[in-house]
Amino acid sequence: MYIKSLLIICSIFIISCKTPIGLEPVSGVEGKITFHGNWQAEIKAAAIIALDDLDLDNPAVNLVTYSNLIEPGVNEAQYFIQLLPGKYYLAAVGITVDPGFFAAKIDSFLSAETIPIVIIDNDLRNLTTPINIKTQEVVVVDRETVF
Amino acid sequence: MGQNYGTITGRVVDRKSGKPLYGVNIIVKNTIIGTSTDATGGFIIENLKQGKYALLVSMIGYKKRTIIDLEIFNDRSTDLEIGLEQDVLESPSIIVTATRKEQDVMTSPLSVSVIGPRQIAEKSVVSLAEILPYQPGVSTVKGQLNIRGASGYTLGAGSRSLLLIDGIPLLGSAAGNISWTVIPTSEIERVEIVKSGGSAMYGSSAMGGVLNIITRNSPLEPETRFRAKVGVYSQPKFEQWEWRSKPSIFNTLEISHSRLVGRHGMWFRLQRDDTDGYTQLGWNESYNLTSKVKLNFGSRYSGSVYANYYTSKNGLASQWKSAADPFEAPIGDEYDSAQGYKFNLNGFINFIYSPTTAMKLKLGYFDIEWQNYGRTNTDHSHETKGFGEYQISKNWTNKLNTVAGITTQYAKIDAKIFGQHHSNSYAAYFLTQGNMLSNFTLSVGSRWEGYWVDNDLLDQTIAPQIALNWNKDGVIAFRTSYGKGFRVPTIAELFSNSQLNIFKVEPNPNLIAETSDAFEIGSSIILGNLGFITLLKFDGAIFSNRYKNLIEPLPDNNGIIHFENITDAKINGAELGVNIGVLNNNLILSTAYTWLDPVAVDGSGNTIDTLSYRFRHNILSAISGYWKQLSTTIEYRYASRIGSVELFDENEQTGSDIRVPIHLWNVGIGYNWKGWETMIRVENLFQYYYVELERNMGEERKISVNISKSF
Repeated sequence: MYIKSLLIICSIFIISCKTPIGLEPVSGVEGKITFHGNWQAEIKAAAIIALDDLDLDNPAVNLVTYSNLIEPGVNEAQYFIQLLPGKYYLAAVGITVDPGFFAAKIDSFLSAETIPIVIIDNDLRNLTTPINIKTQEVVVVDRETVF
Repeated sequence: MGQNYGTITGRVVDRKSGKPLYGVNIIVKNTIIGTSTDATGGFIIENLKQGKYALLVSMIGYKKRTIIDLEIFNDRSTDLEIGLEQDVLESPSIIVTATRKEQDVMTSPLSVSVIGPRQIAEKSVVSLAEILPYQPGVSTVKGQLNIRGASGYTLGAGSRSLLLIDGIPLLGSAAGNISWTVIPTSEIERVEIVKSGGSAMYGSSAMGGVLNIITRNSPLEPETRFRAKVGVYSQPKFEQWEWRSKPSIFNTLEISHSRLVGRHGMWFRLQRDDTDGYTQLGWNESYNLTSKVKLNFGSRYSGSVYANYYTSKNGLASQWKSAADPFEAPIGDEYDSAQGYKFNLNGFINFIYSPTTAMKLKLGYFDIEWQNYGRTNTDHSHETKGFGEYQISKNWTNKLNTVAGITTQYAKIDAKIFGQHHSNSYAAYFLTQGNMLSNFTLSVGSRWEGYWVDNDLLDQTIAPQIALNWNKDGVIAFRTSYGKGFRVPTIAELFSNSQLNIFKVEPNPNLIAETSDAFEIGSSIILGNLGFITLLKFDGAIFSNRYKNLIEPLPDNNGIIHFENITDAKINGAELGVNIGVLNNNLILSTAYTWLDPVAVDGSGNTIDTLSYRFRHNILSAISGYWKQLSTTIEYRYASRIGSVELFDENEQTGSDIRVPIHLWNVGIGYNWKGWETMIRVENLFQYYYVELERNMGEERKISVNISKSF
């Protein structure tokens, strides 16, 4: 009887306790990017970058983050960028240095406001239309680019 | 029978049935003398000087007994008939790992945790890696063992904890990591975890501790065991994370048979595992065949041969597709897999040369081959390893003993990511243990080891150790120890050349050995029969470990990872554990807390940074209840947020790679109906989501039913 009572008490305790919240679904942008034409030799990887303001002449100033790096030569690839809720501009870019080097040095590039990328996104309307992201929402945005 | 010495002979039986008990441990208290019963339950202890002694008699599944005021007379034999009372809840109290000799855990000069068969059965585990994080001071990061924060996570290469099976190293792969999958959990009698440095006794890889798995011997009567486990992973709690249309199922089937063949005992076991996994690449199909033969050639010769063959095919996972799809595989990698086998053969022969001298020869052989079938990862490896050890144990007097030995190891590797290499090591060690003033035990030992890679001497070192234990009647004990440790770099750390996600891993053949200084003070108290409290156990320790030239994987300024001898490190910490048994041990409450302060330091000892992949705070709590045929368990595990990582750090601007503490609740309920043991378990009851290694989601909630029966 004691054991049953104790187990019932423990069960009530466990169930009624506010359980800690661990990781939850994130917000961001995902989609498919399609490449037309031949990859340029100087491009070591491609990515979608997210900017919190639009200044394509100097994206380093407003760069928030970038997607998974896409290996060169593919015709299409999936991408994902994790972002907090807010308004962002997206652009497809080619990275002109080794991907590992790019990832390791990104903070230095941002500090110097010089990032080794080239814009490969051709559609000006895509570039100038912001994306609005809400809490725990992943917006789907597909892009096409022509080399 | 010699002059001026007496003898104890006797038989140990089950008090209820009268049947003889085989393999009972018998230790003469406050001495170094011990033995175990044979198949008839009989034992003999010789070479005792005239006087009064106490015997400590123990066996898994039975209540420990102490026979006191035993009078021994010269040239006479004292005969005993000892009955032991069954108690399946009793925890193992005899250990062998800390000093390479049988001793009561309360006399150990080093901190030792013991996992008994009951704890393993209650969790219905398939892999030992599932139960280890629930031991005080022990954690795992993606299967990599951490004892008191010694290891962190090193991409699976290099372990600072040594795994033994019946005292023989289970030689891992060229990466030096531990192969959990080859361990037959249902055949484990107990697991001893030595948490202080073990290099003085066991050499490289024991710098951070030793895990010794003691496998069971065959019972006297033939026995066939059957076990089936089936379960399902829950669908993710959040709809956005759902990725599969049908349930993820896992199952295990196991059958084993044991019997005596003449005077020798043997068992063999076949296990099949099949799991869909809780992630897209978490699936696994494997077979595991294990056998052990305990050889009995009479009173002077005995031995054992153990063999294990494991083969598997599994998904090859490195990280999740994205934080939005944490259970799916990266695009293009959905069909990545790996396949391989592991074969382990080891054995030993004991020879009792005289009543005061025993010798042991140990041999081990390990063969492992695997092949990756990945879109970007087609690594392949084939390794063979051999081990040999000769050990001699000498009782100079009843209170002074020395264990000494020499060992050799050889390894040959042919792997795509390491190349072709071979390594040799040679070592010599000794440990002298003296019992002083009846309650003090002093241990002094040291080990020399030399290590060659491709015929070039990589390093040689000497690791001494000194330890002191004081205990009073097995009720209260204090221990303190200091030891130096070392670990030579593994082939993987020296020669790895591969791609890990977007990072390249390149060789560093200039690595040198890590060294450590480990110091600890601890105390244990065991009390019983305190009113309604049947059992009260307390164990506490504070420790301080200093490391030099720790080998860790570090990306350089170009994003290329090399294993480097980083600057020095220190890990200070404390452990506190309490076990309370009430209502005749039918209700057991246990809780343990471990605190670590793991930091990298400069040459002056100033803190530079937090060591990566260590949990600063760990809390383990459990309530277990037993009533007639019913058993229940509720467990809670907390680990604080990992303070530092190497690959993908938190980004506050985007919210990516966030790390959270770990809160896990498990519950289990078991019932024994006419010998059919049934256990239902729910793990991660509240579907708490976390990562230990970046971009690898922790295990989803799972519900399982385990049924077993012995015939």
